[in-house]
Amino acid sequence: MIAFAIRRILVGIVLLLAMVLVVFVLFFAAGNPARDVCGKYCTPQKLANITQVYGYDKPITYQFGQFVKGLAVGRDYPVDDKYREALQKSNPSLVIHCDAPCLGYSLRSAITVNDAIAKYAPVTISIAVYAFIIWIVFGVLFGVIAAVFKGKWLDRVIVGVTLVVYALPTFFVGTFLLQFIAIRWKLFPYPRYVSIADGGVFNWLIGLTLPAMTLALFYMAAYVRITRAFVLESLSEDYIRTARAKGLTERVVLFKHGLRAALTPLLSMAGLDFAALLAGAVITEAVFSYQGLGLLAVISNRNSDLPILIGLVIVAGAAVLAANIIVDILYAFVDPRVRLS
Amino acid sequence: MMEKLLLRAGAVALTGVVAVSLAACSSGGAAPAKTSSAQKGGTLTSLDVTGEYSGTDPVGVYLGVEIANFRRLVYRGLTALPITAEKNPKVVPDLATDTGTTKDQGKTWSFTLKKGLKWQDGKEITCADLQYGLSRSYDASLVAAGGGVGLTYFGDGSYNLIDPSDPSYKLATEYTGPLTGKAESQAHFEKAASCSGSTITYHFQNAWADFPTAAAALFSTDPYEKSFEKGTANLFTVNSNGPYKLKGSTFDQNAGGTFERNSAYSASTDSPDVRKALPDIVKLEFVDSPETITERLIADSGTDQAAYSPLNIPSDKYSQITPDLSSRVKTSTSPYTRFLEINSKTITDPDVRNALIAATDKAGVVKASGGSKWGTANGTTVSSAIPGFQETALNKINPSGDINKAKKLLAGKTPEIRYAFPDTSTVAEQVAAVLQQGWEKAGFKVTLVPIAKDAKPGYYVQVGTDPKPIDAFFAGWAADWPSLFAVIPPIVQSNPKGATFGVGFNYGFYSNSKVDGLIKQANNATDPTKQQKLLNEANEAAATDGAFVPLANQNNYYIYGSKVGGFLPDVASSYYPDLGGMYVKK
Amino acid sequence: MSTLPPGGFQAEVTANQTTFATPAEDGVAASIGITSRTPAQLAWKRFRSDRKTMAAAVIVAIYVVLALLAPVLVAAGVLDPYLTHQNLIDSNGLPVGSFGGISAAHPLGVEPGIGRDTLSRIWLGLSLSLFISASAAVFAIVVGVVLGIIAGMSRRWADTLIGRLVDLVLCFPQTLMLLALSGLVVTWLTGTLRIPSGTTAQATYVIFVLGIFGWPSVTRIIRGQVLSLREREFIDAARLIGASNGRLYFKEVLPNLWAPILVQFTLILPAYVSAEAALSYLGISVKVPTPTLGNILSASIQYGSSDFLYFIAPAFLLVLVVVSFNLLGDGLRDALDPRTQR
Repeated sequence: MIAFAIRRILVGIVLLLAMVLVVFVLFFAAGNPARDVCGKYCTPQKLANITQVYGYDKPITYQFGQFVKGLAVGRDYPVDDKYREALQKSNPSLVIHCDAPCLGYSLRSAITVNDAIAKYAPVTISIAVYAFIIWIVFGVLFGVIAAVFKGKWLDRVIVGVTLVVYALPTFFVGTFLLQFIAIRWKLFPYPRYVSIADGGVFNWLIGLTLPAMTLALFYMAAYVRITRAFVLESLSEDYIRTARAKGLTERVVLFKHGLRAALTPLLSMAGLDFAALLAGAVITEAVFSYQGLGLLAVISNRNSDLPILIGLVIVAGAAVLAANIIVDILYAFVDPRVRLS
Repeated sequence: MMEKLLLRAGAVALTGVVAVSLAACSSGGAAPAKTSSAQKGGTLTSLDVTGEYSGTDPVGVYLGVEIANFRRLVYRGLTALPITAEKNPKVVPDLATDTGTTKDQGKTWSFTLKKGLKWQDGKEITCADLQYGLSRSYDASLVAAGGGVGLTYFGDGSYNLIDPSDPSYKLATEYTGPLTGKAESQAHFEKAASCSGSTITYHFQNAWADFPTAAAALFSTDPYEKSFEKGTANLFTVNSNGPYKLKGSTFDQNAGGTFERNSAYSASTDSPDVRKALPDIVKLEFVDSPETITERLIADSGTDQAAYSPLNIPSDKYSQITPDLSSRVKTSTSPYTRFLEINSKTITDPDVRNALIAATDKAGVVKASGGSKWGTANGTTVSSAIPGFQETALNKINPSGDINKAKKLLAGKTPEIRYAFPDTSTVAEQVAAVLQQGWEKAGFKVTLVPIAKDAKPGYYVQVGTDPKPIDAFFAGWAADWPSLFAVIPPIVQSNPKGATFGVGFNYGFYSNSKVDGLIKQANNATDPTKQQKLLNEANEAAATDGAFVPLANQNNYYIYGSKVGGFLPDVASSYYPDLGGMYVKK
Repeated sequence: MSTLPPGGFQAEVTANQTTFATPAEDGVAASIGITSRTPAQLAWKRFRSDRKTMAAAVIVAIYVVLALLAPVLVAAGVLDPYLTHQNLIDSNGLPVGSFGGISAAHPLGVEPGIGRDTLSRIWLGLSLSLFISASAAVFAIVVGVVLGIIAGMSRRWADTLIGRLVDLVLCFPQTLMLLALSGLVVTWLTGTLRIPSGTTAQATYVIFVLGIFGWPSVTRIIRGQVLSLREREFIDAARLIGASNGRLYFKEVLPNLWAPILVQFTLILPAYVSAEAALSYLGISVKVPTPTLGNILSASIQYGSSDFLYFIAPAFLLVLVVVSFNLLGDGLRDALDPRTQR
């Protein structure tokens, strides 16, 4: 068991490094990022200065080495040794230190990537948790109801509504909720993120409701369908037939035998979906202007702020990988056959 | 909206910084604020689109709306322009006791600081702070962070500072700012911008006749407190010397910031003509959609009643601006012009360039962009808001295009035109479609090259480096300070030798020795009227030679909440709503 | 390879088709064909008796015909999605006349602001959206199937390698990557590969990235199917008579995979139609004036109160397309895989 866990974690680390390499090559092959921050009246000389001070003139292998080193032990900015040392002598407080795991420094936003992510993460985590709860509770509930009433009108209504909701683009739902429900018809307060520290739990929840609903609707539709399928399948298993044959009530059969078998894989799936959301709900955050990692990505992309984009991709990848490993290990714990595969 | 979208099109945002204007201008003559009903207190909110603020450090402040707002809230300059509906306001002293004195018609300028000026930490503002503030604009790392503007970069070297005791020393290239500059270059710099008591004197290579006006508009000559220095880490910090100070330690470029009263500020050193400072709190709130902002202001509920937006109402919301909203909507002129740059390297024949100009359906472009609320077809790159503004002969061409003239000029040729535009909105595409239809009628073969708003590198670099050369591309400009000098030379003066991309705004690499000669003469002239005459001649020569395709002079079209008073887009704020006089109605 | 059910789909942009895949298909072989009727006959019988699916199939068939007709009609000048009619637009930018400017010439009215024919735009938009989604789906399926067969048939390093590659691709945050790569890849496509900029480059990008992030889940499903196939007698027989690996993989195994491939294709396609719309909203798909359902919807969404027909028509069509393709996919799966009677 422990050997399995260690193996999974090691593979995870290798995958993460491979991802860092791919991301780095993809983004830095794009050319000189200095041009994008050089601004108006960018004279060739000014461009050369920036390129040098921030180390974009160095070979990409060197830049990658420095980046990985920064991940491992942290690093200092600006990158150019000579410039930094001159700065160290004249104004030591101006050298920016970025602690390990250092994901980089954004020239454009004058902030280390770590700080940027730490600043925007709470909003994303709040939306993700709220949406997760909505979609799991209602997704599973409606899914089970549909399975139990399979073929009846209730099942048909649930499945029909689910299909339509699933087909509606998130940006459409979000814009509708924002512009009509909140702003025009004033059926709900204008969604604004208020941290728990600033406004208490109630205001935090109110502020999150519309974005979380926007995000949850799609997942809910998906989970209704998955739950329904899983439950139907587990109800057709032999042991369920045995249980029925034993004379157990339909309720005991459903909840004790059917649901348990169906929900285990469902929850691990949900875990992975949740982890993927930690990269930021890009469209939802953009529609509602919520200052989370998704909006940070949109704006960084608009501003060609590559260091932040790279950092976000790595953090998000790490979250998915970690969730994968945790779920794998939990699975192995529950189901011994997995360890051997 | 277009200017915003264009700015977002590339990190290399090239539309102008500040347009301050003295000239007569057109529609919606802004009514002066009724000072009698002005009330103190309350919270005023400005709703702007996310990511528009490039920095709050004076060397990082870069875009028109930032400059307009920060001048009124936190950063006082040597001089300032007053809050007034007047179209030709005079620059007034702000930190300085007067608007500057010169003994040699603009080669040296002196300013003396008022007494009792304080930073938000209570320390006095000194001449050394002015010197230090200017020196920061020479540091590549600081300027890079915000894309800000140092004096060095203006006017093709004409406005470089020089050390009067050693005029041959190349300060502009040798000096790298106070953080890493060598002691020798620092000494030269301190002589070029020298302090004596509380008086600072700037020494320029050439005469800079309207420097006091530029000082009101640009932040390069603003003071900076040395003890506050944290290098690039200060990009989003504010050390105020104005009536408000930033709440919290940093300004959030994606969310905005809240400004509260600065207790160290003394209104007696200031003038109510420049800052009335009526609300207790001013919030700059960012929302990632102009449409959502407009919807909120139309709905006018809760705190949004005391909110306004410096954004133009997007054209897809025009139809929701019903007559009952007319008391909360304001139209004004704008310093922005829209035009196309022509690649003079690929289209060398002036007849072809003029045919392109003649075949352009400017009226269609205006209509597709939103009609008369959006702008007016014109014949120049100069906004009617600029003093000395004069139309060129291109304005006489039928705004809907003169296909016959174009066909005659082309004489049966069917040149290929690759037209690039920033792919930022449906409107930009619609404009491209209109242009294409006009040109094709005249016989051009048109290929549209949309460039994504997140293209890397940015729009103007893409335009210059596309594997197949771009022949014409969409552009926009507003003057950096209220002068023809800030419009005409950047666009039509030849690029310096060896430049791989346009310096200033000559991305089409237009080059004409006659135009260059006239600009040089204007540079050397000291009489403002004569300068304007020479520059207009240069512009006329460039225009009739087909240096650019004029499209339109934009208008502003604002909406604000029912409790906002003193709403006035004016010259001082580049025709953004002037925060200096706005207040919250009780 | 991970034994997990494939999760981690990105709700907002790339709805992972595995959402709709039943667990039965993931790693467990469908038991096909032990009765006297051929599996295909059985499947067809089941399919025909499912009225809902038959209706979906008819609607989908209509879409395909419409989509194929659109470019022809545009070329013939019957539809003109590009011609502007500024005379049909009032000073507020709205179409002149009621219901978004409906007239005989413009049955669905004209686009606000510029007056292009809405019907023509939606029609050609549907065509392009389906073309992009189908191409991306084919890309994902081809790569996914080839790698899935190789992984499933070879027992050693190829399986491990492909398994890790799948893991690697799946751990990239897809929405973020689609967003972040757009500027770079489009520049690369037009610069290095000399693909014409504009519509061609943007469409290529969307097809490319949807495919790149889409194949791993196909590979997982196909590998699962192959694992059970490879133990069957006809594979052993082919091996014994000395068939090459290539022949074994693509002549013996592949023909037995048509059912899951067909099901996957029908389920991936609508997911990609939605994804294209989401990408349009983020500004990284095909741009107007070239219409796609996504970019029409992103523009029309602002006209909810001022031009209702223009607001609702593209949204309605998009939902209809996605729902009918999903229904067809579900029905196909039920017909082809009797284990999951739903």
